[in-house]
Amino acid sequence: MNDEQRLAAAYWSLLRAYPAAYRRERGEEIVSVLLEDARPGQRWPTATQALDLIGGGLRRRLGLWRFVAPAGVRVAGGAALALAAGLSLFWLTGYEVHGEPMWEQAEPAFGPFESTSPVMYAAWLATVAALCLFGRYGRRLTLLSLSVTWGMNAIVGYFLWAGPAEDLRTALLLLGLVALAAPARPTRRQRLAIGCGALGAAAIAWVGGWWAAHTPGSEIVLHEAKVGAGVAALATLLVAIGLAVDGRLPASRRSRAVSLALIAAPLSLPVFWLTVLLNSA
Amino acid sequence: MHEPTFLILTALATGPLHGYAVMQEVATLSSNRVQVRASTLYDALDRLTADGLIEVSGEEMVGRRLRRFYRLTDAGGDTLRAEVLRLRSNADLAAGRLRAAGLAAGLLLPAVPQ
Repeated sequence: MNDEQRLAAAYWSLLRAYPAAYRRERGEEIVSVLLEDARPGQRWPTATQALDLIGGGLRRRLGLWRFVAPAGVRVAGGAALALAAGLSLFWLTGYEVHGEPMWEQAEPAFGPFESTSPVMYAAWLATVAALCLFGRYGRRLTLLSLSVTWGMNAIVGYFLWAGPAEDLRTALLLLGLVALAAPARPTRRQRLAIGCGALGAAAIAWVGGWWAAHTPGSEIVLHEAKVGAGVAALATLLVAIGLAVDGRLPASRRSRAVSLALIAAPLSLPVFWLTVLLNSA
Repeated sequence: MHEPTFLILTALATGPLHGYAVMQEVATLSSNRVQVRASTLYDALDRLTADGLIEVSGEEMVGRRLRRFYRLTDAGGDTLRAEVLRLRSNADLAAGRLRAAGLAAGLLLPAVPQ
C-alpha cells in the first residue's frame, strides 16, 4: 500500500462519521477532493481534516447540514466560553489555592491545590487566553477542554471522590458543548468581549459567593461556590441577550424574537443547571 | 447571504468547476481570508443544489479520482446578481457618509448626487 492509498483509506475511515447512504453517494468525490488538497508525501489526515470530517458527519446525521449558524448561536457560544472560563477562575482562586475544600469528602490534595479540579480549570482558562491573545486555536482547545472535563468527571466519579462537585463539573461540560458554537476566528472586538466576559463572570461570582458566605445559615463552602456560579450564570445570560439587542439583531420584530430565542436556548440548559445548584446549595 | 456562499457562487459565475477547484477559487477570490474545508464545501454545495442555485454539469475520472463539476443555474445567477446590487448599494451608502465626514481617504468614491 503506497502513501496515497494509505491516506485514502484513512479518509474513508473518517467518513464513517457520515450516514452510509451519503457516503456511498458522495464519499468518492469527497475523498478525491481531500487527496488533491493533501500535501505531497502526506500519509495521514491532519487533525483539522479529521475534526472537519467528524463534525461534518455529525451535522449530516443530525440533519444540521442545511443550517448555517446564525449570529445568535455564535453569541451564545462566546458567552458560554466566557462563563466557563470565569467560573474556572472563580473556583480556582476562591477555593483551590490556599483555600478550603468545597466538600467534606474531598479527594486527595494535588500539589498546592485542594483537589485535581485545577487541571480542568486550567484547560478552560488556557482556551480563552489563547482565543483572546491569538484569535485562533479556540475550537481545538475547546474540544480539548471538553475532553479533560469529561475525563475528570469519569475518573473522579469512578473513585467516588467529591460527590457534590460533580454538579460543578457537569455545568462546565454543558457550557463547553455550547462553547463549540463560538466563532472559530473571532474579530478583535469579539475577543475583547469574551476576555472581559470571563473576568466579569468571575467578579460577579466572587460577589455572589461573598454574599452567600455572609448570609445567616450558610456554613458550607460549597454553598458559596454554587451561589456564586448561579449568580454569574444569570448575569452572563442577561449580558449576552443585552449585547445582542444592542443593535446587533435584525430590525423586524419576528426576526429579533427568533435571534433572541437562538441566544437563550443553548445557554438556558447550563444556566438552568447552575441556578438549580443555587437552590440546592 | 453568508460570505462563503457568496464566494462559491462567484467562483462558479465564470463556468463549471469541480469541488477542489471551487475550494481553491474561494481562497483566491478572498486572498486566502476564507478557506472552506471539505465538509463545509459539501454542505454548501448540497444546500445550493437543493435550493436550485447550482447543478451538477458532469463528471470525469482523473486517474482514480472522481471529479464532479458544478455550474450556476439561471436562478443562481439571478440570486448572485441581486446580492451584488445589495452589497454595492450598501457600500455606496457607507462610502458617501464617510466622505461627508471627511474620513474617506483611500476609498474610490461614487459620484455624489447633486
